[in-house]
Amino acid sequence: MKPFIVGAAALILSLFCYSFNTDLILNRHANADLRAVCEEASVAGTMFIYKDQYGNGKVVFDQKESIKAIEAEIKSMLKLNDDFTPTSESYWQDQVSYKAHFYDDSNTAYPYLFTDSDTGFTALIKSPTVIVTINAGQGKYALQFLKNGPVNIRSAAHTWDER
Amino acid sequence: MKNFITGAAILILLLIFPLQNVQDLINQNRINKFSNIVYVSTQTARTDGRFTQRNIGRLKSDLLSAFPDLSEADIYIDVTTAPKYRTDEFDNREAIYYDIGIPVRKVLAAPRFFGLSDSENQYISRRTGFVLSEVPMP
Repeated sequence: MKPFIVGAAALILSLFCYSFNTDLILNRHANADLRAVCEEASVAGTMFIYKDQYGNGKVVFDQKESIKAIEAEIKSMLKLNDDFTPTSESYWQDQVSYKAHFYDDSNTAYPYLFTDSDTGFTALIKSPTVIVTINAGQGKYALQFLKNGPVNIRSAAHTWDER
Repeated sequence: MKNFITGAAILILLLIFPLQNVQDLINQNRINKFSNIVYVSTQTARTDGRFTQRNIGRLKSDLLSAFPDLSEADIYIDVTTAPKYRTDEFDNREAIYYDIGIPVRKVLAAPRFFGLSDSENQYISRRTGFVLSEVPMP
């Protein structure tokens, strides 16, 4: 009877460890993906500038169009509904939120040191830049005591460079 | 003898867990490598304004060399090949879409133990999304 009890205990412990490890691997991958989404979204944000301002030698982002592109990129890559809640295909489970910061020739004295209060992400801004921070909420953990863990939040910046 | 048999049975059951953990890491590495290859291809598409045949060919050859178990028929590629241009206003019709997938063939390390066949023990890892073209409108 003793080997059976010890064996059953070891089995349960292994199940716990396996569950944690699997969830951790998935969460790490999703977190790395989130960084890629931030990068893509910030690139999308730099694609739209006012042509008339550009004609005057200034780069000024068209924030209305940039935000449309950023939102579309986030929804597409994270598989979200229009209200930023995850679809059934998405890894995420909470409503996703994002912040977009626009630094351009209309509102910035270069160089400017940006520090994200949510992530601690810093970027020295020397030319027009869009920074996107995405908060995707908590990762999926099966174990009850890990369900209230930290949120997954990442930032990325993209700078508008002349070619 | 009874203790030995019970112990051996438990040991076999417990062996599944470390094996599965290793298999999960192998699969995750495969997916990461796949993501990196797709990323390079999508960035090339961004500057080309579409997925050119050259880009698609390179994507396939990179995947085949990174994953020797794959054949060309295993790779799923559905991408925008029509030219797209940079616009002043966001228009999702001018985005370059991609949907690229490869099979992950060994999900469980010991499928026979759970009564799964090889065909049941796999799934398709897919990368989908879009990038905006950097090619100016002619």
